[in-house]
Amino acid sequence: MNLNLSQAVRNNEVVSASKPNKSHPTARPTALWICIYFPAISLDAASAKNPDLPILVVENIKDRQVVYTASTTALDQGVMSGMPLNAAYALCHKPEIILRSIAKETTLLKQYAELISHYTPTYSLSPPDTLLLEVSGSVKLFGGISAIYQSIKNTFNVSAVISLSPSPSASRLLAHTGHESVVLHPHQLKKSLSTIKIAHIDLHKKMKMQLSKCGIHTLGDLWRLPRPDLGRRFGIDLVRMMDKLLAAEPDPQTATVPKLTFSKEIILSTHNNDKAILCLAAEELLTMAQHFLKQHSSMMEKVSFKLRHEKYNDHERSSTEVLARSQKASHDPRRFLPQFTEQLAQLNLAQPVSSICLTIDEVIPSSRFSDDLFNPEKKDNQDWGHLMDVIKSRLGNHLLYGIQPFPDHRPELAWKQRTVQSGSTKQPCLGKAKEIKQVGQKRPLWLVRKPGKIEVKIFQPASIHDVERIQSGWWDQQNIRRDYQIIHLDNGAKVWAYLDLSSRDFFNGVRGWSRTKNTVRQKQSHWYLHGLFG
Amino acid sequence: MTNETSISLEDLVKDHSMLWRGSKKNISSDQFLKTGYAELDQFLPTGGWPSDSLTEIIVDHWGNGELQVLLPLLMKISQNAFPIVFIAPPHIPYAPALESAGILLDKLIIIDDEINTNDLWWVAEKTLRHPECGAVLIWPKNQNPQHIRRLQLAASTARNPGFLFRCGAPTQSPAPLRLKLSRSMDDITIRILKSRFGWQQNRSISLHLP
Repeated sequence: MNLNLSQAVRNNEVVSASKPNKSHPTARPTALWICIYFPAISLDAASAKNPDLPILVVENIKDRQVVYTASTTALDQGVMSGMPLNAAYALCHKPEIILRSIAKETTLLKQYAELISHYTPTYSLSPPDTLLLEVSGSVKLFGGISAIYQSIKNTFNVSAVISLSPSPSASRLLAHTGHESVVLHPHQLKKSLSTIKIAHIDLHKKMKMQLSKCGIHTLGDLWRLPRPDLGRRFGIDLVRMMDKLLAAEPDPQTATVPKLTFSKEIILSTHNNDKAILCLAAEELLTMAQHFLKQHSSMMEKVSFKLRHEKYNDHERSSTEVLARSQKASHDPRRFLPQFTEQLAQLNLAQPVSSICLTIDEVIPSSRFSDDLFNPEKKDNQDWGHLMDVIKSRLGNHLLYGIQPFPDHRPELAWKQRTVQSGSTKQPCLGKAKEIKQVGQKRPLWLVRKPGKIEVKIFQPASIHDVERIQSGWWDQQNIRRDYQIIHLDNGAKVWAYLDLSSRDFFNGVRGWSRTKNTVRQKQSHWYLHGLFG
Repeated sequence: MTNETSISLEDLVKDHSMLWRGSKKNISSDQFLKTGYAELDQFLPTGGWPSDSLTEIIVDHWGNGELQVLLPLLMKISQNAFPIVFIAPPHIPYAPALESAGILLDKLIIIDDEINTNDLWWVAEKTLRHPECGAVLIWPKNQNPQHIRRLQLAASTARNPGFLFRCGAPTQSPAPLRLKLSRSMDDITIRILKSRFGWQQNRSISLHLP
């Protein structure tokens, strides 16, 4: 069942697998899925202190501690996964018990994924222990499928089971059952998979039981049976699963798009605050960052350095942060060195620096920017509309608007917001405010959102141009009757204020004034500030 | 003979853009924009609003003529089809008044003052740095020298005028030109607090703007 890899390559099957079949021009190139299964990932993630002692990784199932996996020493002593912890205690001497951490396993899996991420842009993590890579596009680049397979194998040594097939689920199944197989063609899949037990397949327990009752124990048994009858008896899901295994039905996998960050630390052998040494360390870090960016064909806009200080006497740790950024994304982090040197020169480092750490949080893919071929000068000039889009997407639509006048006599309704179009800025106007404007009326440049009461101490005699009565809006429940006047306040501000003629307050004021002219309890009508001549 | 030497020395010095000369104006005509008020042009050390740097305008209270002195400039910029951005204005810029001042409102973009501080500086820098921008007017709630330095850099790189408005007592600021405006009735007094363009401290001018 295990195809010899070199034999497969010799038969030139790899090339035909990566190229579209010439006899069927519409046929897609066969996908090639590499599945990397890490059976001992939970042990690796547990990071035991002494690997020679028996190690038990346990998990809590229904308030009971159960062995999830165990080291070889423990397995040799008879421990099996799924065993209660008490039973394991009886079997092995002084085991190290570590509680299983799925978070740690996932982190480790992500680290593993980074090791192979340069082989293909389409890979997916299936936690807790499996990686899937689609490599058909990379075959030519890396010098054949055998080269890819071999170098992945060398990367992980014995800790991983690696299998290759045209179907992701078949690759996974092969790897999980411990088969390091290489299957290059869909028609070879049936043969490779036929001996795999039904028990290993990801199916419902009930269905596995039904199949076993019918005497179906392996996948080979399933394929011998007529397909329509299988579907009728066990449901469409079983047939679909079989099709996926044979790459006859699409089996999309969720691609993992890693968030790229770069973080490296250099620990200084001597704790000092010699700035020349710090600059050398920074240069080294920036060179590493440059390699990283080159590898991921990306750019960055800012880098941050962290200088960690260590105090010996009270073990207090502190750090100084130095940020360097440029407006334009760049491939070359080394250009930040002058910025760093400048900022470092200004710093007063009271404590010696024990280590220096460089972090790039935001790595930008290179493809985001494209230069103008014919007019290299113009490459920075994205158009204004694009900028508006960027601003809108950051702030939200409601914070960015334009204004336009609206034909209404009421000051607060005489303008309207309009949306800013990213394309052409030409917009039909709602109407010309000039049509209702009369000569000699001056409007303030600022309109206050909510008119508030103001104290007007000295009442200036107003010129005829400065006063205006606005009375409008009886038709839409927003009736106003106001006497507006331009007033110069004591603080120098020139404001537009009104007396509200429609409010009870006003009438009380006027009436109260006339009636009780000489009393102290004299009511005043209030001025409301509605605008500022900014 | 001596006269001839002094003239050639004057010419030599004039051509040196790196040389800073006290109160003499050695600013080329593309470095300023006409204010629209002849007296103000005469008064300002740059011969108009600096076209590629930040100008800070300080008032005790809003409504002291801070926007009015800019109206002719904004009118010209908008009529030349360049966008004008108002960032976080303290009140509603009143469309009828702006329109009657001749500003084309479809060139005017308002960023509401609900914007948070970080975004405010970000927008200010992005717009000020854009080559197609006409002018950026910013009303920040608080400011620090670093932000202003960045904006100044953006303004000088893209050669755009930026105006920073401040209400209250003036504090330290790296803006190249700082003016204090006060109003008494319809007279607006403009005093130079600081000017990088020439030795002009504490001179003032009064404009009558009804």
